[in-house]
Amino acid sequence: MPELLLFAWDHSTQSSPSPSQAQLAALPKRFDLITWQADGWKWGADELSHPWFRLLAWPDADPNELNVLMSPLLPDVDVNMQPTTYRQYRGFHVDMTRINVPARGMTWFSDTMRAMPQLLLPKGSMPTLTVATVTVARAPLALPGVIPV
Amino acid sequence: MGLIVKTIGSGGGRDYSTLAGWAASLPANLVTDGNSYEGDCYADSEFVGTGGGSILTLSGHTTDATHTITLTTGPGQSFRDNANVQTNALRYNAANGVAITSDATAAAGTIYAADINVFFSNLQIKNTGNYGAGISADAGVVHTIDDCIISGGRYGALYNSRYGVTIRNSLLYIPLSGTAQIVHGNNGLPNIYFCTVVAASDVATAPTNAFFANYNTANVVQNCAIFGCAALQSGTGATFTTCLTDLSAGLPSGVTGSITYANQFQNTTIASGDWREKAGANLQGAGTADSTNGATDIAGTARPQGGNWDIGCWQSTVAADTTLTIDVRATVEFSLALSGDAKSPVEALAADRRDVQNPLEMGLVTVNDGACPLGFEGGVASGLAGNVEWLSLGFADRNIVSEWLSQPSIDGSFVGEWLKSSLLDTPAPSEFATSLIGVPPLTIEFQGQIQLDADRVLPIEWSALPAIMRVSLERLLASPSKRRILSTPGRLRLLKRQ
Repeated sequence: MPELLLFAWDHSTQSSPSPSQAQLAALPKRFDLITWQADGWKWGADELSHPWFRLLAWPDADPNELNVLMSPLLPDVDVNMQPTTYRQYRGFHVDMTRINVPARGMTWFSDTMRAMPQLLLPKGSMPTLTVATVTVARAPLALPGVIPV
Repeated sequence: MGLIVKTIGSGGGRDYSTLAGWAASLPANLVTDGNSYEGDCYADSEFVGTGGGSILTLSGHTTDATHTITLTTGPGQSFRDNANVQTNALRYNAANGVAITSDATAAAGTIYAADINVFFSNLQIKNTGNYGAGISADAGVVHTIDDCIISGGRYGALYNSRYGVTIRNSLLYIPLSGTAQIVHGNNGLPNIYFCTVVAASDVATAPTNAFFANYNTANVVQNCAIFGCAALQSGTGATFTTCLTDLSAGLPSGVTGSITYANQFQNTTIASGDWREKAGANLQGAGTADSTNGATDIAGTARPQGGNWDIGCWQSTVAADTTLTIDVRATVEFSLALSGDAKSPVEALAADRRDVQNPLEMGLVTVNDGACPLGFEGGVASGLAGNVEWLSLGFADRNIVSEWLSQPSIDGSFVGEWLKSSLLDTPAPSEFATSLIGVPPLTIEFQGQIQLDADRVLPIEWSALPAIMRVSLERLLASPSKRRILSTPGRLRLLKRQ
């Protein structure tokens, strides 16, 4: 039963001063998977309470699919192996709008008070809901002055 | 400006259970936030990352010299804090303290650090991925690594590092075959001080280079031990100072080659690697003094020891700098030598030689009888037993009027005073002899025998010294400065001076 630590903070709109494009690429973004652990993991106090995080217990989550969510988006390179896009913290993120248990995934995610510190997706109740179905690729961010290949 | 310290570990009561969680909680801009941030890792369990990615990513944060990011260990949690740090094999071992590993692959590091003003210390870091690295970085990175053990992957211990990085007193090693390098720099190399940079001696194919640098940006490699590689470096930006290697060709100034690898470290194999310095290693005392970068070694041992600056991350503590402090609670712990001039009735004293059971009695006799108007030579003994023999030997030396053993527990009319004054070194021997004998001394010469007291520290060169041992005082004292002392065994307490 994997437990997912998701990032709920949006540095682009909620951090002040607003980070640069390069920083935003490098920092975690909203809906990014920060890490995941096996069922029963003893999370730290801040992971359970910090308003920037959400904990989602997902019994049916496939670890291999979760690892996809953990991978960075590596920069594209030109023929001279020079980067044309930013390296990003994650190449994929979770589409919370597709997680309805029922219809409360996004509501829970948006609660900055974390009234429900951890959301449990009932095991087997949604056999069609897999990590892959809620995984969305991040768009590349072109470096300034560079036309993406 | 404050310092926000968070605990990281899988045990109860920690702020974060994961390195990634702690890193994600850092504000984007530490400068406007006004704080520095420190993550203190706890060895509740090994930090393990799977899935091919870095277990920790530090990137995108605005920092400056006073708003920094530090990842280190909590109190008592590092391999450096281990009670057996001096005897534990020096390699990655999660049982010894905080340890971080991942299977990060494809040039990714177990730790990916692209921020500047980042400090790593006291950590063990290992990569097990396919073509991964211990710590990988990115262009423009500036960070400092102190007192770490980094077991690298096929991209090395450090990958994509550069001249803005400093690494000190660390072990960088490669336990697998076919690596390209141990340290890779994308723009010059890091500045590397007092590091042991090695590949296991039994890897099928040694690393192509110890160091690989794109661009020849200047950097410093100083007091480093570099062993087990096929070549020293690719790139020419590095300035080497007092480095040793087993390589024999293509060495720049500052690197001494053809040093036997097996003679330097306790063990150099993949399975049992132990890169603590071996006794008698060429590394010992071969380094350049540098208190800025090498005040302590990877095990916390202060440098220098007895004037020795060892090359590499390990500083030997069994060299000439080993110090002994005589435990004042030992039975007898002093020696005082006074000798007479030509007028001394040495011959008479020798003729008056007699065997007594108590050396105190002998002393009283010689003084009261006036046979020896001068002083005595103190000695060291563990007690009265056997002292008569020693006294007899003393008489045989014509330059020594008498030799007198005593024991602090004997509090004779003047013995206690004499012992006290001897131990405290006051009054001066001649003055004391005057008061003791009651007549002006003819000539009293302090011969230079060591007067041992609780604070006296003696250098000694022995290869292995346990904390408490039985030794021959004669060997002990005669070795370093030819001090003559009797051979009575004594119980010494060996104390390591920090």
